[in-house]
Amino acid sequence: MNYWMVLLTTVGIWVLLALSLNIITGETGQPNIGHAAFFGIGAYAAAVAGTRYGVSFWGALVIAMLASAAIGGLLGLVSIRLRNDFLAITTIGLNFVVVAVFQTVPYFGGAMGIGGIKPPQLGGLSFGPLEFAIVSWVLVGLVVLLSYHLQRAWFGYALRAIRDDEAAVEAMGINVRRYKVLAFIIGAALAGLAGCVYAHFMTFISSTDFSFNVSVTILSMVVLGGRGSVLGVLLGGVLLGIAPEVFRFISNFRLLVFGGILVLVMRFSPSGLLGQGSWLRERFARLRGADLHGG
Amino acid sequence: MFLQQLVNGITIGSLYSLVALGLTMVYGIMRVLDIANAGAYVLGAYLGVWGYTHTHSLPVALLAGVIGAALVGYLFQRLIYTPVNRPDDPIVPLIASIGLFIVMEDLFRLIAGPWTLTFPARLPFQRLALGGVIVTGSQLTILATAAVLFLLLWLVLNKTKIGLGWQATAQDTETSMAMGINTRAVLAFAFGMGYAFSAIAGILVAVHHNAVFPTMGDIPSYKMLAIVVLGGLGNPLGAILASMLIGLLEAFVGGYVGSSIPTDALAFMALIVILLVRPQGLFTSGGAAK
Amino acid sequence: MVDKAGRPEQLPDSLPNEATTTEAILRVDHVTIHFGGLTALSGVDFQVRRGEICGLVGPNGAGKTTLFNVVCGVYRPSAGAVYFRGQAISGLPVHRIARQGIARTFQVVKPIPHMTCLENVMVAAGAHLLARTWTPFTTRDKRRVESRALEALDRLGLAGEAHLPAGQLNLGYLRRLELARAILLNPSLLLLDEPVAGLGYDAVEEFIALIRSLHRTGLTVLLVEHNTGVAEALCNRLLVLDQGRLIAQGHPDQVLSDPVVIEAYLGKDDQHAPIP
Repeated sequence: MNYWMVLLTTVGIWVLLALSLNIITGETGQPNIGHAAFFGIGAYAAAVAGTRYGVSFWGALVIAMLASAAIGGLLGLVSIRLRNDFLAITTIGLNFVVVAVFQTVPYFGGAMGIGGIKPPQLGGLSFGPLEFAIVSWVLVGLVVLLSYHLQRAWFGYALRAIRDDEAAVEAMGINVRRYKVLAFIIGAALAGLAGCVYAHFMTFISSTDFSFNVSVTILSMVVLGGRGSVLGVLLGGVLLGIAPEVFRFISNFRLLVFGGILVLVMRFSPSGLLGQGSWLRERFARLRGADLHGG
Repeated sequence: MFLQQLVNGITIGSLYSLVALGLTMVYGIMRVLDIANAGAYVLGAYLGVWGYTHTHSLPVALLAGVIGAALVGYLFQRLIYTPVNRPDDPIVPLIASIGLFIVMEDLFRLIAGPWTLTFPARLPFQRLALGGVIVTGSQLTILATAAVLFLLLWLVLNKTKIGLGWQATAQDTETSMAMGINTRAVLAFAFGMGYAFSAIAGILVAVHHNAVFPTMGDIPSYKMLAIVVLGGLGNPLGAILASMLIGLLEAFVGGYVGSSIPTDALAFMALIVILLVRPQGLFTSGGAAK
Repeated sequence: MVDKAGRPEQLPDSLPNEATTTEAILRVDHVTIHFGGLTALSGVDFQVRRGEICGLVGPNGAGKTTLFNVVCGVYRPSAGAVYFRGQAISGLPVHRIARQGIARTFQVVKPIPHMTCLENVMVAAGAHLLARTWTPFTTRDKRRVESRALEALDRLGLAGEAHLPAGQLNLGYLRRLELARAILLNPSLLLLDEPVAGLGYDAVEEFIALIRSLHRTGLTVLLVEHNTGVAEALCNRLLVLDQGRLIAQGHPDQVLSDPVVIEAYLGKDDQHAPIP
């Protein structure tokens, strides 16, 4: 029972991260290859708030989101000055710098990390694995709803248009910079949210939890699922999130499988499983079309 | 102390330059930030050890690394990069290159084992003491090799048809196509040469530290990207200058400030600071988003 | 319903007919622009009057598209200024200038390829909502905007293509799509950058008729045209650029028979030279 709840929570956190990155990289097309930085900033903000200032889980959620959003906004402001491939490197850089700061600054526990983060309380009940699983998947549900809403809202139109052609969007009188920064802020805030859940769930965090490999994993989820597709990214997060468990018998080849997935998806289906123009999606569209004609 | 760190910095910078030039060769022609290039660095080191243990000759070791890496570079270009390269979606080759790098690293671990191999090469140079400054044999080897390779690359880029073709393409892909430059040959040349340069750097580092291990490409893979971006991307001279700058920065910070600052993050800190001031990189124009 | 720029939020059909006035809507005031050591425009000075179709012609490399990009805010002039409806706009960002009522099309078409035609024009039709603070996070007015967008597609003969991805359209449709996006911004000035380039003979005729009908609704049009035949057919007035300088302006007949203009075209050995 506990094992499954822990797995469920872990996968839930991965899915939250994948969905949050999808807003920046999937919807807007801004390559963010250092997303674990925002995850880490959220986790550390929550951990510091909890252990040093006695802030509760619920307060820490807000603080974590604000902290990540602030750094995300800053990076977004830098990013609008940069060409996309420069931005990719800058996000990698942010990841390395953030990890280095957590590792060296005593305020963040240095190499020892931060331990003793108290699990959340709700009406006298201290959170165990079951409650964490519930909370993380409730949050996944909310973020899925938010993602769908943003896609349908005008915001989503702006982001998708910007992904394809910024100059055309500007010529339509739309402030491209503003939307690119907003995408960064929202995506970073949601990663911060995931970080807060993670910190309270683990009760102990250290800088290596947010290393560049984590960023690559999050990116793999988005890419495998299909950039821009909420359902696809959810699926990508679940698949790669449980992969380490399923592939336990081949755990020795895990990285090989991960890397291989990235290469093969990019080579043969850059839209991922459910992204726009992917094989599955075309199939669905054709089936639905056939239904319409048949009925 | 100052002169010693200067020598150390230039040595580190020379090593960085070789990898940075490798990345620049590829970027110049395809506008791809090729993280898998760091895989060639590790591949070079392993092939070098293999070649050396069989022949006890450093030139043979270098040759093995160069040939193997150039071949891998060519194959990657033909099988992966050229097919996935689409100017409207530059993130695709970038992600593919991350995947390739991860696969390579894991293959090294699975094939050669997770442990560290030694590379006890006999060097062509003796340790040199000039006043208080000590230049080790491996440092001299690195400096000499890098100098030879800089000269070689300069000659190839400026005196051969294919090198001039590379330059034309690096400056303007459309014009060079119109000029009838054999893009396929130039692509093969750029990837082969780029991966070979990285392989040589890998071998030299392995000799310098007397160590070869599967994850030795981790730090260079991303740090080098920061350096080539600083250098302005696609500009060989800028790549060398940025490499030297970061090499010196690391040596001096490491020497004077000590380990309280993680030197491996310095390149990225410098990158972020400089991109804030000069979004196009240090040494060229044209990197900023329009 | 009035949007932020104070223009009625309707199709240009019902814009007041402004063709009768002679007031300058756009004033390009001694604009010079250098790129590195190259002078792309030097002291270009002219006005576009409300309600006219004004053509900007000249041989290749004369600086026509550069001038366009100065007006739209893509480039900032090295000297001189651009005034739109009496206010200086040079130096403003591209999107601000567009919001003030200057819409443009591109010489190399810029569709949003992954979006359908309808979505493409909806972005333009919803641009005024995207300029607000909170509305972008809602789906407010989506129905109404969609019906406006459909109406515009219908007017430009794209109704059948509404649900096709723009990336699948041919050039003729893409040029119409850009025009649809432009008019949905409710502009007072429409900038067309070689609107018929690459189109076949019939499509050119259709397009000319389309631009005329838009003009009749009260739009002021400034178009860059390489082909003097098209410019002559469409425009009330021509401006001729050569090597970054304005060398002639006036009625098409008079301008195209001007020896200076003929010289400029002939000097370039140009196939579209206005030889009688």
